[in-house]
This record gives sequence, C-alpha cells and structure tokens, in this order.
Amino acid sequence: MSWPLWAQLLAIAACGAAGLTLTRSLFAADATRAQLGLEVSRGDSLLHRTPAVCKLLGLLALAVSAALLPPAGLSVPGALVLLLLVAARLPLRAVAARAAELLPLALIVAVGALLRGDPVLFVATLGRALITVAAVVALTLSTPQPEILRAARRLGLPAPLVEIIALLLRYLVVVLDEANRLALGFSLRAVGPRDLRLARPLGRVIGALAVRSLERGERVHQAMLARGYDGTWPALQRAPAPSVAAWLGCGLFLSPLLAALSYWR
Amino acid sequence: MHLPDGFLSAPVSTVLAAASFGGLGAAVRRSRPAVDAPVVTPLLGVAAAFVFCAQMFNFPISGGTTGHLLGAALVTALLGPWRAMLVMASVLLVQALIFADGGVVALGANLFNMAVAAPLLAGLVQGLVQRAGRQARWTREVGLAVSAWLTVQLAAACCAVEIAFSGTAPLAVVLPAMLAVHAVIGLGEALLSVAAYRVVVGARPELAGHERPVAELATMELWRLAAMLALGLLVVALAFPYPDGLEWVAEQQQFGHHARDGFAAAPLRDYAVPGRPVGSGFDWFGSYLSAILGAALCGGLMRWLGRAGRQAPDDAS
Repeated sequence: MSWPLWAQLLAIAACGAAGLTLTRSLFAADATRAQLGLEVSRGDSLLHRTPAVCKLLGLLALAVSAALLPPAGLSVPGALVLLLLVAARLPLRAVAARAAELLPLALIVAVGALLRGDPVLFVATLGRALITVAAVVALTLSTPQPEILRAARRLGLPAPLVEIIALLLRYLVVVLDEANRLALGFSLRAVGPRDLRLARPLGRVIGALAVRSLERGERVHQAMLARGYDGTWPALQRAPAPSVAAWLGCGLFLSPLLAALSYWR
Repeated sequence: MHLPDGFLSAPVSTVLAAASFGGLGAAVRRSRPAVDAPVVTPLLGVAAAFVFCAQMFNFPISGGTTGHLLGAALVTALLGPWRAMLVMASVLLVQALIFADGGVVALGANLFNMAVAAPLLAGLVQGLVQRAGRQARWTREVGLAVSAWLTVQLAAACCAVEIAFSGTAPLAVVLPAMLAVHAVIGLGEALLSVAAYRVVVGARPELAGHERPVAELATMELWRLAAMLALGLLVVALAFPYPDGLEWVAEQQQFGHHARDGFAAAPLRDYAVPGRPVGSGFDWFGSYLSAILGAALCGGLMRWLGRAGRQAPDDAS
C-alpha cells in the first residue's frame, strides 16, 4: 500500500509493455481464418438448436450478472458457461485462444491488485473477463452468423448497422487475404529500422489496402444495383419470435443466476 | 484499448451504453443521403472490413512494444464523421460479439470511446482545421494528423476515467499510464493515417471525395458535433460524483478514513436516493434508478442533437 506513485506507474507501464510484446509476438503472426474463428462448428446439440435470440439474451444475462455478482458469486455464471461448453461439445481450446488476448491487461491488473494488496480484485476482474469470453465463444461456435444478425435485428439493432456488419463479415476474409498479400510484400521489402520510422511505408501499405477495399465496395454496390438492390435486405429480416418452450428452457437454465443475485445481495 | 468485462461497473457501463446507442441512432439517421433514402451500406460494409484488417497491422514502437491503427480519424477523413461512426461501431460489434475481443457489458463503453467520441472529435478537429486554413489542400492532412493523435488520446483518457470510476484502479495511476503509452501510439496513428490518406487521394481522388461532408461542414454541423462530444464526455466525467478510485487516492493521502468495502459493491455505493434507507451496503433501487435515469437522459439528448436540423443532407452521393 505504501509504494510511491511513480513506482506504481513504472511497474504498471513495464508490465503493460512486456505483456503487449509477449502476446503480440506469440499471437499476432497468425491472424488467419482459423485464428479468427471464422469456422462454425457443425455440431448438433441443445445449444445449437436454441434460437439465436435466446442465446444473445442469455449471453447478456450471463455478462451482466457476472458484473453484478461479488467475487464469491462468480462461480455460478462460470459453472453455467462451462456447462454450456461441455454439453455442446465445443472446443475449449477456442476459449483458450481468445483468453490469451487478455494477457497484457491481466498483467496490468495483477500489478495494480498486488500494489493495493488485494488479490481478490485480480481474480474477480479476470474471472468476469473470462466468463464473457467463454460465453461469446459458446454463442459464435454454436450459431451461424446470419442467425446472430437476424437475432440482433430482432433485438433492435438498426437495420443499416446490421447490413454493414453482414457485409463486413462477408468481405472480411477477402480483404484479409488482400491484407496478407500486402503484408507479405511489405515484410520482404521493408528492411529499415524497426521503430516508428517504419510508420510511413506501413501507412502506404494501409492506404493501398484502403484503395483496394473502397474500390471493391464500389464494385459490390454496382453489382448489387445491377441485381435489383433497392436498399432492402430480405435475407436479413428479423428472426421469428422464439417459442414459449425455448423461453422457458432458457429461463430455467439461467435461473441459478437469479438465485445467486438474490443470495449475494 | 478494447476493455474486457470485469473492468467496468454496471452503472458506468449502462450509462455509456445509452450514450453510445443515442449517438449511433443519430449517426444512422444522419448518414442517409436523402431523407427517405436508405444508408448506402455496401461501401460502408467493405470499408468496415478494411478497418478490421488495418487494425491487424502492428507497427513497432521503440522498446520492443507495438501499436496498431485505430482508424477512426482516417475513416472520418474518407467518409465523414456520421458514416465513420457506423463503420467503427460495426467493427467493434463484430469484435465483441463474434471474436470475443472486448467485453459484452463493456461494449457500450468501448463503442463510446472508439465509435462515438473518436469520430465526433475527428470530425470536429478536421472541420475546424479546414475552416481555419480556408479549405486549402494542406489543411486536410494537418487536420487528419492532429485529429488522429487526439482521437487516440481521447479514447485512452475515456478508458482510464471509466476504469477509475468503476473502482478497478485509481485514476492517479491509470490515467497518466494510459496517456503516456498512447501519446506514442497516437504518433504512429497520425503518421500512418496521413500516409494512407495520401495514397488514397493520389490513387483515386474521387474516392476521397467522400470527405466532402467534413470539408463542407456548416457552422451548425460543427457545433452539433461539439455539443454531442461535450455531452458524452460530461456523462463520463460527472455521472459518478464519488468514484471509488478517487476515494482510494484520498485514502492514500490520509484524507478519508472510511473502510473500503467489497470490490463489487463499492462502485454502486454512492447511488443512494435520498429518503430511502441504504441497506446492507447496496441499494438496488437507488443505484438502478439513477443509472436508468442518467442513461435515458443522455441517450435521448444524444439522439436529439443528432436529429435536429436534418434539412440539409450531409452529401448527395
């Protein structure tokens, strides 16, 4: 508790830098399709068959209750998420890959918690982050992306945003391939000093990517107009309302959260 | 800079989510080319894919650390602030809900930092610089550079204030740390953005014509951007009068002597409605009433600011 302020700042900055370097060098290299988790598991389980609207709301309920529960109560949403992952036979390594990106922030929080002499703070913060990560992985690995979009539309996300996201997801792989080609060329050409002076050539590469993307966007727009696009997206209508049985099942599954919230308050 | 869950308390997240949704609602309305026409989504969708990929290029900062582009200022320069808000928001939504990058409860705060406040500030700064320089060509690049550095600083500062007000870390520690680190990252952001912008303007000047909304921002536009930004920042700064982080600093400095209670209950402690007895350290009714009221108020105000005076369309494409 009695560390001077400058020492705290220094320690946190050093840990942040170390954490950033560590994770970037470990995981930034292969930001490929597999790393992005663009594959949807083809499994068939109760979780896979649950309507996406219920799953989105359930994700929200899990995350919010994790934010509200005290550290001791975090075991309830944690156990629920783990149950989901295991019961739906989703790969736990996907959770691990996502969780690895939390490492630099976790280090900073760890140092902060140590300085405050409060290890519970560290565990609770990290636990809450992990619960959300695991819940999002459970959602995305058990739900086709168009389903998620239709559910988001039903839950009130504005139509233009849903359409932009649909196109973002559709063209992400295309632009990513383009970006990888540009990055390969850049890494072969760029032999200069590895510091901020690299920003200008790298900026030109990003500019080239911007030109190619915007041109592709124009072409996509023209092609859609040629096929009769009038600003509406029949494929992205609102999801139908889930059945009563789905709501009941969802509520039953999430009822421990309510119990935990009322117990710890 | 994507905050995961666990760093922000529920009231902080709620109010910031409302501010973001209000701002995004305004952006949806104002990015329509004409009153009755839909938003031109195909271009924005591929632009969002571009931002997503551009954020993956790491540039080295001396000392072994790396930073990456945020992209808000660059997209604002290319598409105008309202469309940039939509692009950045869809990138953040996908990152949070599909790739688990950034929290779900913290999504509102992340949206506010990077998809609402950043494009608003970028549009404001670029508009002001271009007006000061009488729309000369150089003002675009200068405005872009300045706004790129400022957006990164603003997002980092918002991030730090939100963390501190949630009681996760003391403001005196987290704010200088975030600002110092991001001062350098912002430098990279400025250099990268200007270099990229030059390529776009050089290769396809008419593509960069989408910046017209920024160049032609009328006085009304600028004050509206400034008002929305100021309102949002006020929400971040004032909605939580007794932040736990500040209390911790006060305790350090021997100002206060009250005992610190549990981590989870602490951020909500200062929300009691007068006249209602505070129970065992937590007042559901008071804290949620004030959070919901604050959320409704600033969400509605953001929307109103974005809606008023829509007669003049942003651009004619």
